[in-house]
Amino acid sequence: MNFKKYLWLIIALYWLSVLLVTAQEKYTISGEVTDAETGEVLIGVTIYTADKMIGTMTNTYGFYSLTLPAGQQTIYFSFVGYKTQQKQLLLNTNQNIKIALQTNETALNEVVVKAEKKDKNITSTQMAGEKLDMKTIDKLPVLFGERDVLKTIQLLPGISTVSEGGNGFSVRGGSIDQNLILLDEAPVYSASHLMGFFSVFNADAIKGMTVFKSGIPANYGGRAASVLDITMKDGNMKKLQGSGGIGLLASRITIEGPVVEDKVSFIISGRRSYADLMAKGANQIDGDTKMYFYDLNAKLNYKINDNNRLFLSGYFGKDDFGFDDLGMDWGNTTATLRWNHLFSAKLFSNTTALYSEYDYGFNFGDNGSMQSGIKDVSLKQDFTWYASPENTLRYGLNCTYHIFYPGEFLFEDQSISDIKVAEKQAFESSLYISNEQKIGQQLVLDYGLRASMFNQVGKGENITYDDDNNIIDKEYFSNGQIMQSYYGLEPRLGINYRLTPQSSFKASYNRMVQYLHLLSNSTSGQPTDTWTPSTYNIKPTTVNQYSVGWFRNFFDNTFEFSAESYYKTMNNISDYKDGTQVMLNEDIESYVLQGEGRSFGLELYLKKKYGKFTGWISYTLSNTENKIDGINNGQWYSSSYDKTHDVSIVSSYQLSTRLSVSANWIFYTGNAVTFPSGKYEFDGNQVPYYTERNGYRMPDYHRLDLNIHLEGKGKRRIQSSWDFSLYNLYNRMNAYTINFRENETNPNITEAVKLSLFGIVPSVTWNFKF
Amino acid sequence: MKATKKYIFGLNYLLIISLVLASCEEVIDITLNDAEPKLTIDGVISLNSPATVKLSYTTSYFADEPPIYETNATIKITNTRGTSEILSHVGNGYYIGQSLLGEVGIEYELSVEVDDKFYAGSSRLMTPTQIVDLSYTKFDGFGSSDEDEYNLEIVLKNNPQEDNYYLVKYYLNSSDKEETYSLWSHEFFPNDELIEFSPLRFSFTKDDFVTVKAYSIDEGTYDYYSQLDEIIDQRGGGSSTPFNPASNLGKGILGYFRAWSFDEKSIQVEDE
Repeated sequence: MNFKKYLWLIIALYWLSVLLVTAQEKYTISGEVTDAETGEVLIGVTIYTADKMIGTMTNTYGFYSLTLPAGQQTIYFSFVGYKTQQKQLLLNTNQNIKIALQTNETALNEVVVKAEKKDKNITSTQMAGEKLDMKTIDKLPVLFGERDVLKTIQLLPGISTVSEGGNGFSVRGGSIDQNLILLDEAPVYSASHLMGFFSVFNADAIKGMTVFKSGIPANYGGRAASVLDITMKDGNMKKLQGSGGIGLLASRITIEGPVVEDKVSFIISGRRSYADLMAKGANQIDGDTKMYFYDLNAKLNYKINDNNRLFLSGYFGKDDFGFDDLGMDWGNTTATLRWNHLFSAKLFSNTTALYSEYDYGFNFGDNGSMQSGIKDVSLKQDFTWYASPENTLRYGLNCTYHIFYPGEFLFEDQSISDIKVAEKQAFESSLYISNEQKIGQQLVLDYGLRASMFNQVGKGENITYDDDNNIIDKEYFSNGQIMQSYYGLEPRLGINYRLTPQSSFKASYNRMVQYLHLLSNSTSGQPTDTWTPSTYNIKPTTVNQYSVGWFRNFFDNTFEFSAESYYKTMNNISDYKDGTQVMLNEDIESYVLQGEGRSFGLELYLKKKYGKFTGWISYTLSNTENKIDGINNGQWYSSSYDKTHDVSIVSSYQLSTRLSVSANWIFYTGNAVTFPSGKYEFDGNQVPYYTERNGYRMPDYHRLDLNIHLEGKGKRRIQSSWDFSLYNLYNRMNAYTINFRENETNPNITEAVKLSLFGIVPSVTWNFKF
Repeated sequence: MKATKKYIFGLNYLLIISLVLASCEEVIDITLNDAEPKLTIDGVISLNSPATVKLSYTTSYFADEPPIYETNATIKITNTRGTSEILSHVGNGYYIGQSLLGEVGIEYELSVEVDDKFYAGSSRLMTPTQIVDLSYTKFDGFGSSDEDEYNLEIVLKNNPQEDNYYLVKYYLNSSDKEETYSLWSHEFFPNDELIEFSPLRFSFTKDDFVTVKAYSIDEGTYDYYSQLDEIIDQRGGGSSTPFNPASNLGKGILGYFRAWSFDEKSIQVEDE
């Protein structure tokens, strides 16, 4: 089998690395960089020599490895919001150097630290990997006073909102199921709470995140458009600490601290909404109505010794909604067990075991109930080999077993036979290798290859359908038998050419293969959407993306500017035959239509990172079209994710040490939608007549949000702060949907009715820390 | 089997959104294209009645004048015994038959010829149902209105030997046009002599006079009305792509031909 060959390759690479470690005449410094106050490891800290000639960054686990010539060296450790630390050392042996960085309390008041490497955006090969720290997110105005990482990324160029308030997002014309959302490496299959108005990510438990739109590194795969890699906090290693907030819709509390100081730490964070309690209080809804969500994040972090570290983290969340004995609930569960191990100062290993589950259920009281969902069990092995100052190799493998249970309807009444859509199982595995190579002082290449393999396994049936969804043939497979296999070779390439000290040119290519599909007949995503594997009838989606960009820093790196452009081709993207009912449809595969798509765009981004006034302006001009046989007469049509213009202006001003004001303005072209181009009469009804697919546009969307953040006075036992927000300040009634229907009093008149969700929404949140 | 396991869920998820959030509806002006007029066939044959067919063309969506009717068509209805009848035009696009009446267990084919184009479709007249009992209960869900609201409880007679489908229309205060309708498939009931259900989508108050018509329909008609329901009742929905319900009279035509029978009953909330 092919697997064996790859395994040999990895073993060979490992031994090669061990040999090289001993063969070098240079020495390696390695270790981890932490926050001095909390002991939390820091991701993305830049480490470089005085002449800026040699440098690296800490990885997701806070680990770095840098190989330098022997002799006297001055090393700088620099990270936004922290004081840059320098370390003098005489390098005559490999050294483990642990660094604890002090937070820079006055960072916002523009203390220019000499030699701080603010030009990371220029020097990094990562084209579109945007790192966001929680400090930025904290200051943005939000809906209902809940900070939200998924809402924040939608303010970046190339990432657009799919529907108002919702957490579904589209990256460069991709659909919502093409985003790989990882929480501590575990995929999160449905990232929203409460009809999509909140994300499942409790900001208090999150350390940071990175989002990739292009040049996606070879260690990520399985989704066609983007990767959002979210890391949970590890827990304070030094002292017990708590924080929380009380808001109008939800409250949250987080406790973290050491179990054994500097050795074992924990964090536990919970959140619950109480919209139903509020509404009950106001007599808006009946006493039996349920409408809430809760979630729980927990993590245990054990530093066994300098070479070994263990993490156990989990997430559990649920939404419950209903009245009387009717209702629905849905939620995610993820669990991650990770072991970081250093084979040597140059070879870093991460072994991960994952579990992820998403399910939803309906309860129809006396009539019956329904369940549906997806489960994943996964094993991963990743190596980073800091082979030389010029080459960093990453390689590894991944194997996931997916179980899909599309749904079963259990009738309370025993005399009715239950409806059950057959379960499906699949193995998804991949191998990858990539190298980040520095050539001279100006050029960095990151090239790699990911080989992926997908097998749908029995038991099950491969069914052949005719054009009218009738079954022609069935082939039965027993437990464990391979029903359908797909393979993908996914080359990845990133080029960064430094034009001047302040500017660089970047280019990238990536090919992504996606074997899972979200069955949904809405564009925005609903909890009732179901995941399905690629099967005999449904082919995997593949995307090729070409991207180029120019990055320039101005005024001593205070301003960052980038212009990026991309072109993307998509194969086997899915849509449905007219009027397809997705839920509990046994023959759904025969209703799926697949075709091609293309997208191109220009993204401009100007950011001010330092000073009292910070923020960014992002603008995206793009076009996304699909061509699918059976839709729109097989002609190209605008994708539902096509947004011609998309603008976000994000600003924050620090008025005093205690008071800051921030504002967002958002504008985008309305989605492409299908409106009627006529009507006809049938059985007394005026029925809209539809012609071209997505031939119309929703009205343009825009709104302004405002947030005032007030910090409590000085150092007290309990530090508190207030957030006052106004969502949609000028009360624009943006269209959520436009429906075409008969007038209620005179059915002969037909009219277009706009539904708006939010006018101006004020909110207040009290945050505390102890 | 085709996907008939549809629309069981009275709970429309998006409907819930619009109910729960203090959303706001507004009639707006919008410019729409005018498509080429397209022929629509609205054909029906009921138990013990002759066939009725209406032919009209689509108009622009916001037009408030009546549509253009097709008056030069040749329409023929044929039953499975081979008996047929040509329908005659009686004005405003209406064509009616005289001698061929709807009978239980018989399949009918309607064929239409307009401008040298032929359209044909068939439908079967199923065992008629009977509204055995009609009652009501007080609704206690999202009680946001001041007045008490009621839901119906309906018991229908069902033929356990057949795969039955029902279309139930709800009328208020003797109006000609139904407020809404709901669809029920045999698959969601024990296949007994009697079936009962409570439609959540229709509620009324103490002052309303409520009429229920229960139609016994075949599978194709059930599918067509299910699709039609998505298009004409978009409350809170609209995020899935709208479409033209598929006709049984051929591709590239609007409308449907169905054979059916119905029973009717009325009810009013009694003073307590």
